[in-house]
Formats: sequence, C-alpha cells, structure tokens
Amino acid sequence: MKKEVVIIGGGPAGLAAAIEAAKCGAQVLLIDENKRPGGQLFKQIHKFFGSKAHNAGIRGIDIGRQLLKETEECGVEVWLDSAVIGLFADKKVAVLRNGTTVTVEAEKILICTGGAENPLRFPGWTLPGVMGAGAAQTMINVNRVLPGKRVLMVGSGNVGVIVAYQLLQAGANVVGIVEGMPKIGAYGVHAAKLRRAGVPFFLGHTIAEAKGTEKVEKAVIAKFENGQIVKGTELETEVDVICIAVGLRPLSELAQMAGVQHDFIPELGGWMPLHDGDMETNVPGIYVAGDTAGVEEANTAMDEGRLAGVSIAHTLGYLKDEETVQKKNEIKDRLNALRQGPFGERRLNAKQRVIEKGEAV
Amino acid sequence: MSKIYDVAVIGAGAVGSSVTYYNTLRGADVILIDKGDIAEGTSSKSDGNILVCDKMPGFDAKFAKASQDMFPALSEELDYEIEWRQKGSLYLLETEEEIEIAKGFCEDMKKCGIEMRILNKQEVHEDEPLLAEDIPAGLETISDGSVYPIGLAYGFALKAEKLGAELSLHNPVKGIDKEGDLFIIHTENEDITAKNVVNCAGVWSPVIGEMVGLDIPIQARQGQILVAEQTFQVARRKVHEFGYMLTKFQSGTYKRPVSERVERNGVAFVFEPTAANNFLIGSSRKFAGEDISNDIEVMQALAERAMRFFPVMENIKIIRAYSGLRPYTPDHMPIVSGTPVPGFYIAAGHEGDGIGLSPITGKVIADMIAGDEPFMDLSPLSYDRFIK
Amino acid sequence: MGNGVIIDGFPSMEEIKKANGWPTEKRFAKGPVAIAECVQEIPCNPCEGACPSHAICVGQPITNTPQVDREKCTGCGLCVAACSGLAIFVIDKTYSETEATVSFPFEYLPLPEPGDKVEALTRGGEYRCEGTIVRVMNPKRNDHTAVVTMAVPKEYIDDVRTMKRLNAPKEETVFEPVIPDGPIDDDVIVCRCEEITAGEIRKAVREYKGESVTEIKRRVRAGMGLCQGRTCGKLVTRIIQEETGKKPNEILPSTDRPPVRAVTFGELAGAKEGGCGDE
Repeated sequence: MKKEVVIIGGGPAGLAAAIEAAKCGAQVLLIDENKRPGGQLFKQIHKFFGSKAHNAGIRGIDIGRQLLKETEECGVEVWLDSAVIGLFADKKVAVLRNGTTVTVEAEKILICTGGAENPLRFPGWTLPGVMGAGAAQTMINVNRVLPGKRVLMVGSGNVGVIVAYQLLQAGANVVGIVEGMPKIGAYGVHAAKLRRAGVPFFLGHTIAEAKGTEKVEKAVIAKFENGQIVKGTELETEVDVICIAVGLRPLSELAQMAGVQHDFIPELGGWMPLHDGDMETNVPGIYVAGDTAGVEEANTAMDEGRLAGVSIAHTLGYLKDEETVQKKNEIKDRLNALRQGPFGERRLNAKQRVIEKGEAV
Repeated sequence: MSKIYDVAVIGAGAVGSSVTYYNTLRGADVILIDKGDIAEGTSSKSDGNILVCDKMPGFDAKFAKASQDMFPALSEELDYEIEWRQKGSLYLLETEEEIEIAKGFCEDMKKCGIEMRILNKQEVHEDEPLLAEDIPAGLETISDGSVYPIGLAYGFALKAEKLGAELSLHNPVKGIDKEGDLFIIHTENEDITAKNVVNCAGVWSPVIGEMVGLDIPIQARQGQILVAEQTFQVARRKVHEFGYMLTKFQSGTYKRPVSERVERNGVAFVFEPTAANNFLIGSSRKFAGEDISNDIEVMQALAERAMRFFPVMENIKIIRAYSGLRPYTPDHMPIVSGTPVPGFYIAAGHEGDGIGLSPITGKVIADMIAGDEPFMDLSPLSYDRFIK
Repeated sequence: MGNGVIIDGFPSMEEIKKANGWPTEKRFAKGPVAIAECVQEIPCNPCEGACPSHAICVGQPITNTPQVDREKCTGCGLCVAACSGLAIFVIDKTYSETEATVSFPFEYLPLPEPGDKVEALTRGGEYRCEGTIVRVMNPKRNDHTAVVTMAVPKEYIDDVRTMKRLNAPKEETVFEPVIPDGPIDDDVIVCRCEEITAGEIRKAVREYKGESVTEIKRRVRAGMGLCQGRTCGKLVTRIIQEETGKKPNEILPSTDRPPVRAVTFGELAGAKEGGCGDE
C-alpha cells in the first residue's frame, strides 16, 4: 500500500499537520494507536494560554473536538486503534491494525508520537498508588475515576500543578506539592490556584519513600540539597496516591529506528531528534513535531505540526513557493511568540540550537 | 620504553575474549583491545546455541565437538554466569525425503563420535508436545547446549583480567606498524607494543588485516532474530528445521516446501529458549553491508515460519527484533591460524558459530603462540587456503 | 511582605503593583474595578480580547503582563472568567459602608448560592474572615468558570481572593517527623519487568564496567523485559551518572528496535500473506 503522507500520532501536532497538509491537497493518512485521536488534548480540561490564533481561553478538550471536526472535513484518512510497530528502510511503516500487520510505503512521514513521563526511583516507587501525573489525569478527566483521596504531588512544573488542581476539582485532597528545586517550576498563575485552595508547596524537598504493604499508605518527604536527601529532615504523612510529575522526555523511538540523528538537549527533555527549521530531519522525507521534537506544550505542538504540514505540502508540489513562505512565516512568528518571556526563552534558545545542529547534519 | 605485551588481541567478542583468556592462562602477558565494549558487535546480536548437529561430518564436526566439550568445565571456571545448559537439540524433519537424508547424516555423524538419533512421529511429539501435529519425525543431538553469549564473552574477559590480562575497551585501533619482531599498535588512546597480535575482529577483521597488508576474505552477513516475551514453555530445548541445513549443504538440489516470503528471505526456523524463559526465533541470512536494521518482511517471514512448527506461538508476543553481522568466509569455515606476517594470527570468520567455537579457538591460538602442537590437524582453518 | 510568586506560589503585593499596577483609592471610590494579578511574562492574552471596553492591554509580544486602564474599566467582570490563569479579580469597595466585594473565578463544584456564608481565604489559602456570597455568575459563555462575588469586611479586601471550596476535606493534613526505616537504595527495584535492583545495576557499573544503558542491559538484563527499557532507561542513566560522574549527554540511551509495541507472532505474520508453508 502506498500513501503520500503518513502522520504517526494523532495528538495536537499530528492533527494540526494533517489538516494543514490535506487542505493543500495532499493525500494524508493519520495513524493513532488509541480509540480516538486527540492525544493528550482530551484530558486537558483547563483553558489554554496563548493568543487568539492559538485558541487561547478555550479548554484543551474543545480544541481537540474542533481539530477532529476539521480533520474529517478536509478528507484526512484516519486509522485508529492502529499501532505503528516500526519504521523500515525506504520509508516503510509497519502498522498493527485489525489483528494483522500491514506495511504502508510513504513519500513523507511525520513522527509526532508525543512524550513519555520520566520515572523517579525511591523506596516504594513500584507500589500500586505511585503513578505518573499524566496517568492520574487520564483517570480523572477521561475515565472519571478518582485514583485516591489523599494525593502527594512530586514536581511543581506546569504538569504537576495543573494535575494537582484538577485532582482538587475531582474531589481529591492534595496534601502537598514537593519540589526538589528551591523555586516553583510552573507558571505562577497555576501555582496561585493551588495556594488559594490551601495546598502547600515543599520547595527543596523530595519524596524519600512510599510506604505500604499492598499499596501506598504513607509518603515520606525530606529536604533535598545537592542531589541528596538531608538525613534527619524526613516528614511522613498519610496518602493513598503519589503522583510523579518530574518532566517528560521526547518519544522518538521511531525516529531513532529510521536513522534520525539525535542529540541531548536538556531544556527539551533530553535525547531528541534533530530537525531543520521546517521540522525535517536528516533523513529526507522524515519530519518530527510536537513533544517528539522536544517537550514543550500543546500550542507549540500544534504550530510545529502546521509547519511540518506546510513543508510537506510544499515539497510534494501542492503549495506554491510564495504561499509557502507566507504560511511558514506566520507560523514561525506564532511559535516565537510562544517562546518569549522567562519561561519560553530557554526553550527558544534550545530550539535554535536544535535547528542549527539539525541543519548542519 | 613502554610495556611490551606478549599478545595483543584485537576484538573483544566471544572469540577475542577467549583468545585472551587462554593465552593468559598459559602465562602470557595479554592486552585485549576493542573499539567498543566487550561483546558489542556480533556476540551481543547472536543466539547462544552451542551446536554440533549442524556441522558437516568430518573435521567440522570434530572441531565443534572439541569446543562443545569444553563448556561444562568453563561454566565452573568462569566467575560470570554463562548460563550453560546442555539439553540436546532437535531437528524437525518435514518430508519423507528429509527423513531419508537424516538417517544417512545420523550414521555419518556417529562415526565422528557424535551421538544422534532419529525420533519417529510419536517420539518427536512426546518430546515436544506443542509441535505442529503433522511433523513426521525428528533428529536428536544429545550433546548440544546453549549459553548466554554476552555472558560468555564477559566471563572470558573478566576472568582473564582477574588473572592479569589488561582490557583496553572503547579504544579503536587506528593502525599497526611492525618494528623488527614487535608490533606497534596505534590506538585512539595510546601506542601498544606487542610480540604477537591476534586479529579477532570478526566482521571487521579485514580492516585490521589490511593494516599489516593481509587480505582477509571475510564478509558481513546479516542475520535477524525475534525475541519473544517471557511465557510458558513452548519447547524445552533448541529446535530447528533440518530442511534448511540441507539447502545449505546440498545447494540447489533440495527445495523446502515453504512460502515465497520465507524462501525469498532465506528464513529458517530456529528456536532457542533462554534461561530467563524468553525464547529467540531465527534465522535469516543476507549480505547487506554493515546494515543491522531490521526488515519488516524478514520479521514477518520469521514469525510465519515459527508458527508453522509451533502454531501455539500465534498469541505469544514479540518484544524485540534485532539483527547482527556474521563474519562469513567463502567456504563457511573460520580462519584460525598464523599468517605470512610472523607473529600475526587470525581467529575470525566463524559466521554463526563464533560463540560455540570460541573456547577451542582460544585454546588452539594459545597453543600456536606457545609453539605447541595443535590437538588435531588444523589445515582446513588455515589462512593459506585463501591465498591463490 | 511575601517572598514572591516563585517561592510562595502567589504574588506579593509589590509584584502585583510592579507588573500590573493597582487602582488608586479615587478609582476604588467610583465602583468596581478589575485587578490583574498576573505578574510573570507568560504567552497569554485572552483577557485583552475579552474586555468590551478595551480596557485591558497585553499587546506585543503576548508575554507582556496585562495592564488595566482603570478609567475605561467598568468592573463588568467578563475578564475574570476569560483569564485562563484565573488571575483576574474585580474589587468593589463601594458595596456597603462596611463591606467590599471581591469577584473571583471559581471552578469547584458545588457552586455556592447567594446568601451563603462561606470561609473567605487569602491568596495563600489562609482563613481570613467569614464572607457572604452576593452573586454567582455562570453563563454558558464562561465555559464552566463561574464568577462568584463575595462580600467581606472592607479591611480584608486586599487580602481575600477566594472562598474555601465546599467539598474541601474536613481532616487536617499532618506531616510528622519520622526516622526512615525503609529498604536501602541497593534493594530498590529499577527494572520492573526483570526485577533488577539499583544494587545490581551499580555492580554492573563498578565490577562489570558497564558505561551506557545498553552496556548495563547486556550485563544484568535491565531493560530486556516486556517494556524494553521504556520505563527504566532514565533510571539506569541516573545510576550510571551517580556512579561514574558522567554527564547525562555522555550516557547513550539504549538502541530502539522494532516492534515498538509488542506484537504477537500471529499479528506479525499477517493474514496468510505469502501462505503458511502449505503452498
């Protein structure tokens, strides 16, 4: 089977890319291993930041619905419940679908499989009740199941703090947020919502142990200095869930398998594929976008997806040069806007490094 | 003046590690050099079968048997757990023609001191109850076994180090000069001086050979393997198909009843249970340069062929595929010998038998360097046979 | 007062005044007015578009902090529900002789009813006084962000920013000092699939010379199980870092191989494509 464009991963980046490329006339196949596309959008019940062009002020779940609708309208072929098991020479994509493996030969491939939550090692981390913040978020916002009544959140970045807030909304008690650094990582406005609700932040602290026999019953936290637990500062409290939100890493197994050059970019989650200014990697015709191309957030993921979609449509001959330049510039301006300020600057610089290295490969 | 080693071994796979170990045992001052880690090349991308059953009756079988016989003692000698298990192996016979050939093969092998026996339909199904119902017979080899190939290489290398050998890992060899009787090996980290050099670089041995002006006719041949999840016992020991060996030995005259996909990719059914209750499925062969990526069609053919013999695998998960480069020689026999360059030895080209043949290879190279008579005539393994 | 938003989790008065400004008492005397408490430069500007009087300006770049033109602001409160960060409030110091009101965004169910007596909380979540619910606005366009108006004694109006949520747990959270008696780190499992401990991985680094995730995997099987190291890869990297002092960029991750999702033999071989040996 042959397809012009195969997009792997139907999250914000994949959906936005599919719409952009299909609108220009490209034949697009979007593959997602879940029962419905949208990636993490459908568990984002909070209103998004950004500008009007980024759907700011709209809840992630509604942005997802809107993108799905557009995907259908512009004729993107969508394979759900279909897992890509590997990328092979000559841009062959092997897909496990309806109980059998089919091979699709693509002219262009966009890999946007998102990110994976980082684990943390501490005594008891394998007990039931210790879970990634993302898993807890899926439970409350998608499955409508409360993972527990008393939750300790480890990590004060946006993910930890947003999920903590949503756990409160779902009726759980968040007993505290532990952060190894001496300052809060999340946007202040997110942190402020939790502080108003009475949730304490333990800065310069870490999780020292999860206690319990069958499942988590207690959490021990302790002061954390120079990468070490300060002995004698341990504090214990009763919890039934410990959520881990210590960052994400790009999921780029498929890119690695396809021979895409990787580099270690700590600001964007560690080992990640290098790409050029149009999201194309050193392997011609293979593109990356979204968290796979460095962990940021959903708005940048969507714009990176659009950028890849435009580049792909252009190289396939569906878009004239001038139109392409104009579209790319609009998107790049929006991406720049998202990477301003004290939070965005690090990512902006890191991303510039990725592109410089990617173009040098 | 820097230290002068008695022996510098280049290549820390199973073969090079063994050569290091046996030379060290004989009191030599040995250094083992590798561009990467111990077992980083072929030895970490192979299966762990220690077989005599797939050898040609004659020298091939005897040499393999001598190596196999060393494993029980090795699993005691080496500190690292090499997971040696000697459960025998089973060839599956698919057709009447195969049964007939197997009977003669069995007799020939017995003459070489290798114990084999034909299992009839009832016996073979009692032996492996999950076998496809229509399989008419089997051929059992009593002495075959398996190891953890990476563990074997670590076992040799780490024990050799304990006995005084030096390991110089992650240190690529850049060039070799000869000054009088001494070799100066230029590596990324330093210059190493040695009286003897053993080229154990497997697939990469031609590059090392070229450094002393030797043309080594070894080519990389790619083989792919599937790894299954930890699960129930599908088969208790190594099981493989006899038909493929026939296509190998009697090139052209025997044709297996297989699909085009299996035929096209040279896929033969090889099942190997691991000590961790996974199992490995092989095998495929193709010349693809140094490419060790997997091919989806080969993976599919491997799965298809495996299910033909054990339909029960249908619902077992595959967790990984890998592929490695086997050092191939034109006559399928390794080069284990001295060379026209005095003091320069080659122990490479074992193709798919490097793990199994590593102990005897290490031992005979140590004998050669010490000036001792080898235990048998090793001329079939000489480098000279390739000099026109 | 206060250590600032990155330490306390809520902005100090100084931060607010510096980043967003503060209405004059003269302006407060004229009636309700919006107060943005959005002190960091983050990429967000829905408040700007939400104001019917064009009283809020973010401008370009969108990471500017919002500025409220207090003369144009009518205190209508549309911006309160529009702010994605729930960081805009409307203060009305003219509510009564003794009381002022604060209108704040509120996203916890159940919502309060007008007339309810509730616990008025500060930015830091501390109880300040009793508050009386005056109004609860939750039209469709607010998209589930209710705007609650609560009256409190005037002296607390600069501090009070919300009410205690009605479903808040009754029990107190206690953190008590404890002497740890858990397992030592060497016994902590790192690779769950193969049950490999931190101690075994350290041994692979120290005694068996493993220096990368793949090298550790070959030596002690960490990452060889069903998940193929997707969970433990980072943890193994961390231990190599601890043991060798290498930087994370010097420690290569393991090689990814197909299948990236476990697939059965039947699924891989496919639906009889090419036949199953019986051709």
